Amino acid sequence: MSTPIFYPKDTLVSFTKDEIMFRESVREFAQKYIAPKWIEIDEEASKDPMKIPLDLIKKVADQGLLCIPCSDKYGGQGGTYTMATIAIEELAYADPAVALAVYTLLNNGWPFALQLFGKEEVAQEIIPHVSKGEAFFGIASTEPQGGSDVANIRMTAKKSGNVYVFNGEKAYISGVGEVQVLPWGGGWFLIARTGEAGHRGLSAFAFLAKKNGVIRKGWYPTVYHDIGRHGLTTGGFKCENFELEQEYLIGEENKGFYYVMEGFNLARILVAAATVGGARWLLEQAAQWFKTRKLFGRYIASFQGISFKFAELYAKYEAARYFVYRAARLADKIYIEKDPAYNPKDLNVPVALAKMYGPELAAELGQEVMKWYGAYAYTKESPIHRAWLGLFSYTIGAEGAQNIMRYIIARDLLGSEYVRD
Amino acid sequence: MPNIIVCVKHSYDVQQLRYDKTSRKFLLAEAPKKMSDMDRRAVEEALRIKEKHGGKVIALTVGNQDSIDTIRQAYAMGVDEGYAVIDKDFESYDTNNVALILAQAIRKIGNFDLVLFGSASTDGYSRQVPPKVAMYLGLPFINFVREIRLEGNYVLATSDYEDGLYTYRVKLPALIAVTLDINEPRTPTPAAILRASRKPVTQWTLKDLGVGALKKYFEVLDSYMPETPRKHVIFDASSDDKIPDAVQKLIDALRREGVI
Repeated sequence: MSTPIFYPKDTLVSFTKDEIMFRESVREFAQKYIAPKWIEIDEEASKDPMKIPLDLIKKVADQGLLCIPCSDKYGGQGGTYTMATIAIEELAYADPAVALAVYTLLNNGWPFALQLFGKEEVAQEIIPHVSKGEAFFGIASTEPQGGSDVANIRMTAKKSGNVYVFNGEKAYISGVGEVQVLPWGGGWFLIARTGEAGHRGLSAFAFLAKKNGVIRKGWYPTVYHDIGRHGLTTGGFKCENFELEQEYLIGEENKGFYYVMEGFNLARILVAAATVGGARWLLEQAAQWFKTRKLFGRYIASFQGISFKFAELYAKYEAARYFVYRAARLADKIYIEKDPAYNPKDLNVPVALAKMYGPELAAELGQEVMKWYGAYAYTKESPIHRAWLGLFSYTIGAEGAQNIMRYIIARDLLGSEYVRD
Repeated sequence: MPNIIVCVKHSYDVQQLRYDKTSRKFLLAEAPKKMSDMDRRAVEEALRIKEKHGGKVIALTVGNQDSIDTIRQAYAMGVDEGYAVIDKDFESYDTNNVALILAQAIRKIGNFDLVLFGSASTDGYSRQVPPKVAMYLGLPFINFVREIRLEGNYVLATSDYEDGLYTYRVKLPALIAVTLDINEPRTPTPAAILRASRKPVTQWTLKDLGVGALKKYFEVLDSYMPETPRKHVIFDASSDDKIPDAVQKLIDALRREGVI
């Protein structure tokens, strides 16, 4: 049980009437169908990662929460990036271990990137299935040797006639289990080497490991056991002479690095939104505790060691939320409204601020709430550790490591010549 | 194929309503508003009837300019047409006035088979408007309904009174007021919300409806948050041997309060 906080009135992060109605709608949906189940999902999938909540994925799809910014001609909602951000924040508030929020954010950000950079017929083939919850479409960039060093990706895609032949390995990829069990299948916005060393030799593909219910030859998946955020699988896969038709090349050959960087910017906004939604849940858990727990005959928040820390973390929460919605509004200017005064690079710093700040705030807050609750929080009966572990994963990686965010901020503010070796 | 008019109120969201700690008055100016909870069920029920039998669903409200937001919400849920009677003095009207205005608007829309309401609004909760509208329109009225079935020119409606369930069968047109138990209303998708904002809302004034000066039969003088003082009586049950005595004292105290 959590206690809602009377949040201060705000005019800076403000919403249109449509957005307010949408937030109410998502919140009601998420509180009705997801909030009562998230603990059970997290527990069950911690024992068996393939316990994927397919029924809830379908419900999320039917509620129109996948592919929100994608065009309605691809079966998307024709909505805005701000709406997608609102949806992710509310889903994470209902499921602070963020499995469903992250499933949903991946299947908003990456289908949208496919729509922006992919071929019309490929978008038309894939996005409607993702939108209906029949297929997964995420990002496959990281490899066993690392994730942040995108320019040195080793997986190769060699053109042979009408197909590209893939060899190599991807690791720590979300959705490896989902692609296998969802009825249509799906895959990833995958980046592989088609040319010279470095970032100019990389191409992006709509890599379908499973299509029309059939897993394709040469794809060998493994599902990992994560320590948190159970209910969304992480895994890896090997490609051994995996063949993909050439039409699945996204954009131009050897330009994949640039597409994937724009895609990362879009997805990072939603990752940060998930951490803000989870942080709100944690704040309200704390408020509930402060209104009931007494020590030495006093409410524990009367000890300034606790209330001052709460105030500091609240300040960080507001800052994180501001970063998230500023980035979402900018994404709308660039990709939805196509306002010529803005271009994709304008997103770099605002997005990096949101992705740097949100996960770190959520992880710190989770850790503090654990301490405020005391020993009870260290038992499995308490749900707080589930939120903490789920949110903590986004301080490690997922659409970019924290220090990469710091690098982007410093690089764009100072100029790359001053921050490189 | 029935045409259904659903009357919806743009109510204060009482769950988000705050009050001044000293005067205990509600801070209405800052309170968010939304479609009244039972009215949402009425819209949902109308849409389900339409999905089964065809026809048309029309949403109607009376209120201030912001009540159009509730028609937009009805559009997002899937209604076909939306009407709003806008009057800046709406807050000062009594339930007779509101009922008269709604009845006139329903007459002006015309061509209806069924009128649906929520049995009570989330904020005022007077439960007076639906029966008064039925009276003005001369329609049969069924209240506290938790199930509706259409059979040809008749409607079967099951009412939930405290002593049991009653099923009534009346000829259309009729007016029915529903409770929270009748259904779980749908939550609109992003696409439906965006479509709704582009749909036209027909706006009328009292003059458009031929409604002149309204006589007030009663007035709400004040509304405030009541104080609920607690007695903080503690019974010592800190060890096993003290429990029987504590239980007996608890029972005695509850008897004295008249609650058992």
